[in-house]
Amino acid sequence: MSQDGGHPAAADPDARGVESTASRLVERIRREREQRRIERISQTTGRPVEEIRAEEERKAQEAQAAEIAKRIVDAAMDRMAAELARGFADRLAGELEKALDRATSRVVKARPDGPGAAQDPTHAPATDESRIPLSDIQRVVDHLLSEERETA
Amino acid sequence: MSAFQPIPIDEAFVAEEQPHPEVRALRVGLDLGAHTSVFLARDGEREVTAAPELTLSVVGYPKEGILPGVVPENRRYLVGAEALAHRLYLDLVWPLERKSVGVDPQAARDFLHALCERANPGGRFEMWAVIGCPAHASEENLRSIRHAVSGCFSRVLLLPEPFLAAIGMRDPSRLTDPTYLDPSRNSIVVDIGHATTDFCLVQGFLPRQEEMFSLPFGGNEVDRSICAHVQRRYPDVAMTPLAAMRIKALHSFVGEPPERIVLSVPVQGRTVRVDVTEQVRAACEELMNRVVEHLAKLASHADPDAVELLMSNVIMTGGGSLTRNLPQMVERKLQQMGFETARVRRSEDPKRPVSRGALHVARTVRDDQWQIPL
Repeated sequence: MSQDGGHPAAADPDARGVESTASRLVERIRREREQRRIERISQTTGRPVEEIRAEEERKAQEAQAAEIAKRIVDAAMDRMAAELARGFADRLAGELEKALDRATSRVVKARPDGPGAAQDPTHAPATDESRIPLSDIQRVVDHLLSEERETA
Repeated sequence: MSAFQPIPIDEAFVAEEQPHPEVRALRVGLDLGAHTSVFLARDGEREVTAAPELTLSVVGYPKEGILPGVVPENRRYLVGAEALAHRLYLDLVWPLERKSVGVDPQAARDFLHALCERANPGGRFEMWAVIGCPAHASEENLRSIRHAVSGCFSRVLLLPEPFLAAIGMRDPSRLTDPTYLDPSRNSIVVDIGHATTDFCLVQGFLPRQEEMFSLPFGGNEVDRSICAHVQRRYPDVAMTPLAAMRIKALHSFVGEPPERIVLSVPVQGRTVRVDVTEQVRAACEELMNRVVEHLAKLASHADPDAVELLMSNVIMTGGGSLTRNLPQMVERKLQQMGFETARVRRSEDPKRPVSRGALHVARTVRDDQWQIPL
């Protein structure tokens, strides 16, 4: 570390020079290695070096594009998830309020002097008579056939 | 194809009203799937399918100018796996792909005729069939299905698939078992088919129209997506929808891959090995994400008092539900979305609930409820 706490290369011109030489060297080695690899593929497959290089470059560009697309999608998903969570919390609050209202009205109705007591002494939950039980297959089929006739 | 067996006559399933003393009527259940059709002639312990291997809903017509003898017995058309086996010499048609049948009514009729002929050689008895149809089938679609089945079945009943699936998944012998979770009481049924994914709220009653909806995204979209992803990653590899369908049937998965999917494919005459694991996962997860999204949407329309119960009993069925890890991953995603009680499972024998329900209904309805297809 340099005295001012920064990277040594930032303060020392010599160190900066060494670092830049090293990175150039690394880059050259990488390029040479890549060239050898492409030549090897070319020898094995019989395809021209230029064609293989072009394909490699295209794949690299595609990978880069895919990476960028993934980041965009991730960011969008994060935002969507946050909105969903917010929406869910709002809906939950609304549903809790409704459930509380329903529970209160049931308690009131269930009291001996409540509004439901005279009409429904058993306090049994109301059943939806307009709906046909799945187990009553013949009735279900009659209903579906009559619906079909109406549509026709 | 030798795998087909004629249906043995079982007195319990023979209709009360006999058309002629010498011709007997047999009640059957039929699920006409866009990819696979199931034809059941009995149920319970004695269940027998007319086609022991599920029949692929495909018809192949010999290509123009094909040499005699190339197609078995020089037949006018082949169906199912036999058509796929000879696909190089045939033009393949999937007549039920859009469940409209209107796409190719002749192919639909040929397919059904072949199915009936194999099940009932020589027309020993009349067949009365309950047939599953999409929940939101239009009047025109129903008419074209009826048109296609005329000549194959003497009487028919076309009933919505979600209703038949709910009946077919129920095991009446276990209703007194306290540990049995009755699928027809409070559940969300997700039927992942080839052409569509159907969602249905089942709460003990015949589902209303608003309690069912159909998503036009199923196995065929997954096939297309596999092709597109593979094409993007390996531009030299020519992947056909049929090859994608095969890869999906063998390797489809979501989440962690159970194994790497490495294929040997021909590229410019050479055989090259390509790893398509990520491509298959991406395609299958598209379907999974849509299922999760629509389950959440359906839950928002359900009675708030019943949401917890419904979400704790989500049942997946149809060929698409066989995707590995799918129920577990959907469950996890729903829980992450705040549905803490979410429990998702795959139905037993997921390719047959509709046909099983159809057979059950066929046994139960009165003779006067059947319709005569014209």
